[in-house]
Amino acid sequence: MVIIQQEVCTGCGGCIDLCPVIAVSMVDDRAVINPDSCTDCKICVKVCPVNAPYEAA
Amino acid sequence: MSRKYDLVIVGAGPAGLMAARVAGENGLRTALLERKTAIARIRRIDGGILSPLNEYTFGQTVTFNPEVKRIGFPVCGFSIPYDGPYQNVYGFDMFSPGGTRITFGDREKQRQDPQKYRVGVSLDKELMLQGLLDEVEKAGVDIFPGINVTGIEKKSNSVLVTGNGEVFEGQFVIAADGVNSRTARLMGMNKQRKFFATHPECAWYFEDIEIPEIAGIGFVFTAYGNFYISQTCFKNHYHVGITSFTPTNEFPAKLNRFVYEDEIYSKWFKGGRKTDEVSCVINMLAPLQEPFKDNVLFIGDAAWLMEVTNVAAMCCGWKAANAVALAMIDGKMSKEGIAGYLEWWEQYFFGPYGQVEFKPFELQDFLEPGDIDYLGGLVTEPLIATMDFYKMVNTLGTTFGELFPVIQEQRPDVMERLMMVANQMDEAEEAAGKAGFPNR
Repeated sequence: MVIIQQEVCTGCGGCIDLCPVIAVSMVDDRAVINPDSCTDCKICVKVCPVNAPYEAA
Repeated sequence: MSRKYDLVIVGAGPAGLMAARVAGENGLRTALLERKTAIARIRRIDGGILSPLNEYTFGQTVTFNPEVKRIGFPVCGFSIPYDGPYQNVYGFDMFSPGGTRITFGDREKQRQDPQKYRVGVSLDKELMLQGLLDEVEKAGVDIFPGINVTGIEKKSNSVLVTGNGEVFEGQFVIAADGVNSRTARLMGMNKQRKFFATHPECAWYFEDIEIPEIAGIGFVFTAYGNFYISQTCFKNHYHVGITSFTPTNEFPAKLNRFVYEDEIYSKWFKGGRKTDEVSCVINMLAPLQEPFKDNVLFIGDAAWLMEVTNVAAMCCGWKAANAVALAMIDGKMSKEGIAGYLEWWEQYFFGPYGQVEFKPFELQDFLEPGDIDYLGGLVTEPLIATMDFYKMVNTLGTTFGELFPVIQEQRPDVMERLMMVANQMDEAEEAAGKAGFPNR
């Protein structure tokens, strides 16, 4: 499962826009993944320009 | 229960804020939805450059008048407040891996008469947005920060927009939610759009450095990536960024290399302080020819391939909200009611620029660093002064077209590789498309 490191996230919204299942939202001006809708496709990991999302065990 | 409005605007950037101000001034009951909580705070890459000054892009131009603290839009006929710092912008510069340079604009001549020859000004964009936001509030618009729109649905006489468990109902919706517009995707607008590339960028803010070579935006081609440096509204402040036409996780390492280790360019950043990091992802889909469906009007970046510029975005917001106001007066709650916007869009945006060929490719995939140094050194006179990306690309094409006989004579090997670029553009485009995520 993927988690976005809040202290690394710049809040640019790229992963929010590209998430195919709308599982990522802007919460307090940073991107946050809703684990209930995330399908683990990892597009957010691939597109993030600052490598904020990481795969948690 | 839904909240009922004449107009619901999604996105509070320059386009959405201007649309909201005009809608409020025209007496429309208006809701403005924004996913950020700090509306005027910029959390995404933005150079903060206001252009075109003394030229036209998308048929628009601006005037900047610090004496009266306003920015004027003489083609559309409105103005906005701005009382803050600025620096004149004179054009683009392009730098090769080894330090040769192509300059757009004759700096010496331009600096003698900035009013006449500047092609833009860098502004504090947060201050500009705050000025607009204040006017939106004064105009009686209901502003909803922190709303992530997740649904949009046409009813018989209205459109329902949902986000964060709330429902907003409008006679019309203006989608001003940017270059990767979720509204456009939810409405199925992206299904027919050609997809080019997923284009990420990352930039660092630097203070206490001086780069006299840059008087606007400088593009630097290196063997390991494409960078840009842009001048902010504060003296000795710059943004330095990296771009790519394919998603990558190498940006932080490459920026680090450019700023601290590059043989030629790291000297620009000596003694400087990195103060912030920003980023963006631009998903490049072909512009919308008809930016309208089921009473939703897509404006500014939401209907374009990439960013249309701050100025064009505000003009779109102004035109769109006026069109909705007229539709309400005329009682035509349909495409017919806002036809004036669609004609304007065709005239200034889609008609002249909508089908311009775009090829996502990296020069370095075809040319050696030494080739780029050689080509950069061939253009010794300044080219046309412009901040218009389309004009810049066209000018480069024409300039090098005229130099082909010289290149063929002096460096047939470089000419051969240049021809390869032309022949393999379609393959490069296909590769970029495959590496990206279409967002349909």
